[in-house]
Amino acid sequence: MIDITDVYKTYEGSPAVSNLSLHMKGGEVFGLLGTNGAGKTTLLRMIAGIIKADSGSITIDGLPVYDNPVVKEKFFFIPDELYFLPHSRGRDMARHYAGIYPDFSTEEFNTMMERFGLDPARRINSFSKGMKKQLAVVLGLSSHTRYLLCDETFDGLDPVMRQATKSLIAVAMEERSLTTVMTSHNLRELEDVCDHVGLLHKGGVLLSKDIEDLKIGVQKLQVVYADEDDSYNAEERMSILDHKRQGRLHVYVARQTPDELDEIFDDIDTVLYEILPLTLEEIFISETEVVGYDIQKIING
Amino acid sequence: MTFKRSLMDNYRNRLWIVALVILTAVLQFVFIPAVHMGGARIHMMDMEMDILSDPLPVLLQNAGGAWLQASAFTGMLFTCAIAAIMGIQGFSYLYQTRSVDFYDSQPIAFSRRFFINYISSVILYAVVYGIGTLLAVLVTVALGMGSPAVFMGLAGEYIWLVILFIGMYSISVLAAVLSGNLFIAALMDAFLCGIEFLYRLINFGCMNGWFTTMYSLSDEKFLTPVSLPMSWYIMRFAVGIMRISNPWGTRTAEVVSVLSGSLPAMAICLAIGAAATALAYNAFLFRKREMVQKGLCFGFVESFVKFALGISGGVLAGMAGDSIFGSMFGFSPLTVIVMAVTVVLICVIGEWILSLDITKLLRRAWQIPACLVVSGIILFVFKTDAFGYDRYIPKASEVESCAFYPTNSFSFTMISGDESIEWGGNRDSYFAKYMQLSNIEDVEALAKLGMEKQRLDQIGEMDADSDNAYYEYDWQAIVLYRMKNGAEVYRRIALPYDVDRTLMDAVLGSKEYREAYFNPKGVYEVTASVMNTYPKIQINTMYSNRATSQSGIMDIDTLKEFTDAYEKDLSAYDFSMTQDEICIGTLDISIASRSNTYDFSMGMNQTLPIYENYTDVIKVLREHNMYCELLPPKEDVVKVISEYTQWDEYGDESQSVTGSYTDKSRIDQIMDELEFNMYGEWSKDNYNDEYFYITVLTEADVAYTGDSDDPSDYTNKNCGVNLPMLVNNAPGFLKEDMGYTPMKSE
Repeated sequence: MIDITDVYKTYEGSPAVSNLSLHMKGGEVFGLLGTNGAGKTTLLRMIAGIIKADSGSITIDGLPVYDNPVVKEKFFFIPDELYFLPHSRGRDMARHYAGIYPDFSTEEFNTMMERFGLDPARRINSFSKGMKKQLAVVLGLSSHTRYLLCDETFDGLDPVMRQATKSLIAVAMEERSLTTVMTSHNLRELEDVCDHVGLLHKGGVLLSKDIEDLKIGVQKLQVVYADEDDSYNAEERMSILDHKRQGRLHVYVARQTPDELDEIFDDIDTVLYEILPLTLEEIFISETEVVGYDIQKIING
Repeated sequence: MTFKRSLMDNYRNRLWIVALVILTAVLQFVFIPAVHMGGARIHMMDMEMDILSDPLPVLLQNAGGAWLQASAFTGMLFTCAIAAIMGIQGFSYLYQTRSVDFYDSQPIAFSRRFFINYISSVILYAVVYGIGTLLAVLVTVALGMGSPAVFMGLAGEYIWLVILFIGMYSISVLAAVLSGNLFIAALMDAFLCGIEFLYRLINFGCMNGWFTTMYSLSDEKFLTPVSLPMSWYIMRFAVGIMRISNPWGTRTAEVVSVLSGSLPAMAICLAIGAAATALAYNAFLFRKREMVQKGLCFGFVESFVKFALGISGGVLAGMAGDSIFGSMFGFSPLTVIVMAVTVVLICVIGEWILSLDITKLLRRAWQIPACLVVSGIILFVFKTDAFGYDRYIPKASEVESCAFYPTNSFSFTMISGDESIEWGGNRDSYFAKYMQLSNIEDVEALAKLGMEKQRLDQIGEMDADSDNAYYEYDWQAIVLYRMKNGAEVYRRIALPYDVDRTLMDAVLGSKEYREAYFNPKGVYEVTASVMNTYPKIQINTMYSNRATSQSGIMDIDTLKEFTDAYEKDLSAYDFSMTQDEICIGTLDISIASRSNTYDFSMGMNQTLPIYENYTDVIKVLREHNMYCELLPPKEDVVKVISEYTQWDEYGDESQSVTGSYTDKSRIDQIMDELEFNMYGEWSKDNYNDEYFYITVLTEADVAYTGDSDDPSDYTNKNCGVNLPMLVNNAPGFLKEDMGYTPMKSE
């Protein structure tokens, strides 16, 4: 697990990360969401032991990360701006990492390279941006580390490659309990792969929740009352996060389980009563609007 | 990852550096020696017939050392250049976020990362230049110019170059890890290498400008930074190799001497490298990785650099301003303005370079007045001599010995191969080594007197209304105090012409002074030693007096006879003797090849004054036909010509009068007042003195019809003897005939 406790980091006097605490469980995909300057990359680089927090602690499996090769053997970091050894080929990078990570699998590397259609003998500086990202992911997965840290890794991939990558990560999670921490400024990107999402804003954590918990706890409900006066009765008993009305159609987002909602509307006569699935974006908007932040701007940039 | 693999990865990632090192090694150890030694080989073949008795093969081997002269400096240049490049390039990954992310996220401890990056360059250089040295040996052997001395020199040079590399490379690494980008790293490297030189330059400038008794041995020693390994390499090795790699060839003993003599310097260079490495290591560990593309990574380093440059600039501007606008006392407001502008510009531009942000020009603006104040204090201390430099006389109990010599010393022996004497002969080095005066109180008494005059002369120069404005001529001399704590203190002093004779006699008349200053014994011993090794060279002499000169050749036995006689006559020498007796000539002794094609004067060269009372010396010179009579006997003189040129107040010739005399009594009167005295160290200059120029002619001179009608033309043989006569000493008739009118004194 990765524990981040009261971490504070400034750049030239301005806080980049401010008293941030997060707990990332092993074996799950943790998504860090936020706009540019929210502190995602800074946080990830601190987790990767590249930069040191001004205060607070970051530990992986109970051990501090910074300048700790024992801990660093446990993760592979894929930064947003990739770097490869000068004039190297894919196989040169594989050889380089094989010397660093004791569990690096050259066989698996070659297999994945073939699957992605990448030539290990070709010079990396002739790769496109997307191909370089693919190569980075292949190298990361081939290292067989327990943690994979990805900084906006999916942003350069086409949908097919993105899906293929997600599949590989899923397989690795299943086979060896790989824990993945990934950052993005695109919520839709994280939605179908993350187990836990943290929303960062101006160096702090705005929200950090399991996606399932989010989905279970919040429901979207469409109702048309037979008698419009019954709406007051129902609304009193619901914990409403959002309420929109179009004529007689009421659309509620309520913090209730389906069973609880069934119980409320059991004795109310309705023309239409339907519980709809919520997207992660809708959940986030609802949750953060309560706090007072305009999540649209945060999510969509 | 194993160490070997880490190294290979490192080299694979910087192939152009590997290529650069190999290229310089090929130039240094193959190309340059092949070209240089090829030329030396031809040169030695020509020389063998001329001056040396060694068989050619042996001679060629000895001459192989000739290439060490060039290689010592080219090796240094190559080494320092690639040390700077490798130092900065090896840690340039710190200047890009993506490379920092790549390397620092890997499971390699920062300490190991530093070690691998650091040592890889050292190993690369040592291996490539080691192979290069072996190649140089092969080239030397192939040209038939190998010898134990040359091989030893090559081995020594290799060791020195590696040490030099480590020293300079470590400084570059320190600059690299202190900096946030390539541009700043290069500037920082230049700063670290040059800051001590800058300090010394300013210190020298201030002392030289305001301390009237200041004497610098030679600018290069005063300005040579001791924190720069390159300085030690040059001073302790390169100069030594150049000194011994001469047309005579290189001898093993001398090479051993140079190498063993430079062991302390090697240790110092290694210590500098170790210190720089330790600082670099700590800076690397504590450096914030987010400082990519910033200026310097530590705020206190930025402040130090700004202060160092700001204060230096302020002081230099103050010195310049004071020389233009200043007066003896205080600073002109214009000087302060010049200083302020300079400091502001340096601090502002420095801030701009460090931050690369024009909006931050006035960041840490408080440093500007701080630099200005410190600059002002420094200038004030120097200008007012606040610490009493010009009044310093050490306690006699703290002085081991002294040296004392005039600044216009004519007589000191230049001895080639003497490590204390720089190539070309150096008066200060000579006296520092050979003169140890034990009568310290006498020397200090002279020094006190001389320092006071020097100080008053300076006041007179600056303040025309002061009592000291009228400058009295003096003798400039140097005093060296060798302190018991090992320090050497020099002062320049001015001795008035009416200096206490007793005091001067006590110093100049001491045995220690005479033996060191004239060194007749040393002249013989060095010459004998050289001739023992190279019997084909010869001893050249040149006897000169006021009228004429005569060259000759002396054998070693005659030299012994001469120097023994000189040593004996020297017992009468003291200051009073130089004032009361006439120096009738000088004898210059040097050694050279028989064809005079090759100049061996650096081997030994001495000029010894001959005084009228040196009876033994004069006897030896006469016996061996080395003596020139100053004048023909009076009875042989039939004519005397006098010439007088008067100058107007503008320095232009206003009139020139010539007269001739054949009357015997007038001839005798004129000849009695002729000036024979050779100009020496303790001669009195009086620019107000005027002279008549006299030509003394015999019958043969008068009858001579040479190439020129002008009997005073010195290029004509037998055209008489030319000597000056002080106008004040001239007979009245001569003054009248020459139309002499005394110049009005100021």
